[in-house]
Amino acid sequence: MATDAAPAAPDLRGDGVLLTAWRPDDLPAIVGLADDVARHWSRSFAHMHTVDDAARWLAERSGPGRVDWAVRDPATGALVGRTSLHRITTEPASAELGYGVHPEHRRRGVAVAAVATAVSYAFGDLGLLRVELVHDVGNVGSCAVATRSGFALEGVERQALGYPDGRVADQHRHARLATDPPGPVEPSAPPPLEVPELSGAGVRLRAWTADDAAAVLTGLSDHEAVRWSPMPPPPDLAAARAWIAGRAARAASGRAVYWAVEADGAVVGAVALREVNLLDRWATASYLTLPAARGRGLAGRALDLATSYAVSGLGLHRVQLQHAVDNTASCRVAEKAGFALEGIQRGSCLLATGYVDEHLHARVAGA
Amino acid sequence: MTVPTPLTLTDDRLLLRLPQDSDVPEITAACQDATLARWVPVPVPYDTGHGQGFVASRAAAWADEEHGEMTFAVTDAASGRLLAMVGLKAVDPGMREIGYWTAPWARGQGVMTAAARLTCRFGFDVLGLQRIEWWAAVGNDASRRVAEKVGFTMEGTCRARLPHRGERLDGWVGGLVAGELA
Repeated sequence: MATDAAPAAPDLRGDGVLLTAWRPDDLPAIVGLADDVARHWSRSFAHMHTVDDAARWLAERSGPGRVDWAVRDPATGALVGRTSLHRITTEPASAELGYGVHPEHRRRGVAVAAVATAVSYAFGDLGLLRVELVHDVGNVGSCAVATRSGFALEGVERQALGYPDGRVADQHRHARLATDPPGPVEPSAPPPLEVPELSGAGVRLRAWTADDAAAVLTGLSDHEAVRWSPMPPPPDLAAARAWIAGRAARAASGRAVYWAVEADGAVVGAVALREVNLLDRWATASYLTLPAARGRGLAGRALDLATSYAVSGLGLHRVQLQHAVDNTASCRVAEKAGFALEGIQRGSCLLATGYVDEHLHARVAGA
Repeated sequence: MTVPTPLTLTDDRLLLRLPQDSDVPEITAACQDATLARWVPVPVPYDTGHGQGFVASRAAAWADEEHGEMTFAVTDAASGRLLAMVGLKAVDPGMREIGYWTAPWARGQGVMTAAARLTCRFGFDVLGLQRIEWWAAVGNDASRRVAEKVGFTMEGTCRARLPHRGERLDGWVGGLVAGELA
């Protein structure tokens, strides 16, 4: 493939962003773009810690076949992100697009605005016909940016992405053609969700295993659980095992993350992020504590861990939860985990006793 | 990575080795074939000079680990006749792309499936690759059949991805990960 000498990056105005060429005095701000999230997902940012690292990084941003921009706040000029067109070729007339957003400016549409601006330049000024966006399958935030930016998912390439630390991951290949209609593409099937192990404040969250069937049966059959749940409890161990298998299937299909909650090495409860929507960046949380473990504040701590992961790991903006108005224990858990009460949903839950009103609580990232 | 050269790969029927000057007449003959030229980006028309240039460039291509290609001439072990060409092109560290063509006189005999297997085995066992990629223009069913027999998983269809004789063709992408070789 022929590689074209790309022009120096021109200033471009986008929707709430200004793209400019990099300047030597950007180096400290470049370091500021790197947090653990950026170092985890970006190969070029894997070792970004110091101004020297930033200088090396910037030196590699020049040369043929690429255009690199600083993404700035148009009002203040502050650096809010980075974007680039690289692997620019004339045959076929295509490029790959990359981007990153400053940790304090994520979830505000910076990436989508920067991508739209760079893509418009690629198709208009450079005359390219195809722009690709590849990302780690696990980087669900990037997948949402691609979908919102109108990049169709064209392939899932297995073990195609090698990181400097030796990790090897599957990658999504998205592309947008110059001839594609404007606007977002239909979201593809959501990527599988991991069930990461999370620890803190004396509780440990982990994936359910078949060995937990007895704990599941106990937890879901308890009087309090049955009283407040719209679902009947599993009748026996086999049904509890089926429940566990069903939770794993929901993670695999990208819909939910269900954790077992442990304290002192024993299962004490459950916590989940359900109805996970990576495009609109919200989910619904639920939780349960086994009868013997109640009154110790475990559910609130587990919910806090799960919600922090929803924001930092999945890039969600809002996590909400509902509980029957009379379920005061659940209300206390929600308040302790920072879920503000937003209102009452009338008749939104069917319990054994009939339809009941529910409290709607939510925690919003950065609020 | 140091790979022994010259290098040969063999099974009970085939001998794969570096292309050599004596292959030029058969390479040139094979590349006259319209079916081959439809899918493989060889010069059209193809003359002896192209064949000579191709063979002469293989040693340097083999040594270039970043952008090069390790090419094998696939020959009949008994008669020495050239049957096909197969190569592993450098893509990324740990990853190469397989490409191949079969001479018209060697088609329909499982030659390329066996040669691709030997080549992929070499890629995983000797080069230590984690992934081998396969790209072909949508509609190149013969190439796809070989890839699927060897164990490649079809992973996607990329629009206007492959430049070919002034056009941009939609491309199939497939992947074979270490341990999957059929």
